[in-house]
Amino acid sequence: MTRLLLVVAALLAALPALSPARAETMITSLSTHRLQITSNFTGSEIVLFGAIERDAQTISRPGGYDMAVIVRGPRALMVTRQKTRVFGIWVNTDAREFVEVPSFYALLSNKPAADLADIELRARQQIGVDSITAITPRLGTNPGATPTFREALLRINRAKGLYRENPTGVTFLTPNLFRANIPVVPNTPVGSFDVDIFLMSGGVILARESTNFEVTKTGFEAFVANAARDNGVLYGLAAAMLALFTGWAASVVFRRD
Amino acid sequence: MLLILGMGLAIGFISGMFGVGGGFLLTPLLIFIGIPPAIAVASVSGQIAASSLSGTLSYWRKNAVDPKLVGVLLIGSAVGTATGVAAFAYLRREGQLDLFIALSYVTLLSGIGLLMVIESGRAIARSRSGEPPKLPPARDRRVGTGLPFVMHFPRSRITVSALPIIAIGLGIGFLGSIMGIGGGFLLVPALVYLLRVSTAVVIGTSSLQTLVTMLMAVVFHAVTNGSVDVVLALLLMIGGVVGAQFGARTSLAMKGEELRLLLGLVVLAVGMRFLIDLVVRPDDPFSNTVMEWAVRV
Repeated sequence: MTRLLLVVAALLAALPALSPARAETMITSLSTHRLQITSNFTGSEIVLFGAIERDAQTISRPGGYDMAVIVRGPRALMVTRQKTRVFGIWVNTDAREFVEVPSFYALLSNKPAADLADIELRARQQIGVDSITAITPRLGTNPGATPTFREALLRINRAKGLYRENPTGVTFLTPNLFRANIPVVPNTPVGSFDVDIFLMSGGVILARESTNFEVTKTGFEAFVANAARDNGVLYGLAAAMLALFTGWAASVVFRRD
Repeated sequence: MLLILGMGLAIGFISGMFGVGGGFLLTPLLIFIGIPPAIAVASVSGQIAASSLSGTLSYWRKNAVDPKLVGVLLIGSAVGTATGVAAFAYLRREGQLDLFIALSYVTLLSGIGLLMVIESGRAIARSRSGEPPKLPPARDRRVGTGLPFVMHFPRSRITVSALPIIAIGLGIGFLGSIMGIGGGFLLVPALVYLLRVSTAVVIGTSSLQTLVTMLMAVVFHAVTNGSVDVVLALLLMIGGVVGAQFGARTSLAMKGEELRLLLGLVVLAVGMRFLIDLVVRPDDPFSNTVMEWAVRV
């Protein structure tokens, strides 16, 4: 908590030092840029603090400010498959590949996504789960079904907690000072997370800031996961040696003759 | 974690009791508790290697292994394992791996389970009616000598063409690496009934063959699919080798036919469970899989 207060103090101190500007600017800070997780990780939060800076020339915003904070995990190629019944059993019969989709997505805002801006702006800036860009390079045998696959992709990731929207995720502490709690879910992907912060008013983007943080595995699991990925041959041989050792140890311990 | 250790113990107990590797029960159980089939299959290979080594060592000391026969079997099973792992990777990419594993288990387990139940049921009925147990048929120890590459195996007391042996190795290696089974419960009958290998060396020979095949499978899976979970494998190994000791002791107190009937029923039940999962309408016909990361993390 002291750390957060320090961040706030630093932000406030920085405010008057900035050069005068017509439009608003933002200063933001994350409570951490590197989160290390272990195998018993049960979820956590990273706090984003921000201040909106305005000067004498800045016009007043009668509608007040809106904030949209978008957090995106490392992107991946995802495949959504559909099962249908073939000769009485359920078989994956159709699939769509989605390229470069975020493995994690969270929208934190001070009001529901639909009230932030019109659908075109939301689609352009990927504000809201339904606006996540998911491109399918190959349409398969029936291109008409692709929207169903896209919906399924979003729905399943939503159910897993990997795609989420929180319309009360941004709190204004004062009219110009805000805070957002970025959730890091228990089943979080690891890698670099991009944070895009949009300052909006009346459906228009006034200012935009970007930052990022990293989620890494630590401890024995990290060592094993890295070894499995980078040195497959050595890892395989090590696993084989382990098997031989365990088997030999057992035959020594339990030898009956 | 304790659950997995416990499962390793339970399966080890069963494998010691019935003298089988246990992979054909362990892999399904892991799949049923929600471990992805790809990880389950690859990691169980390590466990099977560990438990077959302790078996092999004790048979080796009793001189009950035919290394020459294993050598010829391995020619087939090396190719079979490599092909199996490659097929595994292909099916996984196509999204049909889970289906293939489930279908293989349904076919294999219900077939084997049914045979075991029928055979042991008959044996029990025979012993109740007081008939003497059937003697094993007189052995013709020359098999397939019409084929080329005829070899003599003094330990197993057979003279046989190398081709059927390699074919058996090929099949066991392929199935073993895709299904996560050692294949002992297929190999032993094949050696006894098809090749007429002397029963004195059949189990030891099968153990050694399983050991080498599963070691290859672990390495191939790690290299090709990166799907070996060494922590999971270690837990299974520890549970397995300890459980097997208690299982072996318990089995001495039970009758062979009853044991086989029990095992047959367990095998049938696991096969049915796979069938039910295939037939019942899934909660959600759609599923997501992360295929590859855009950036290496």
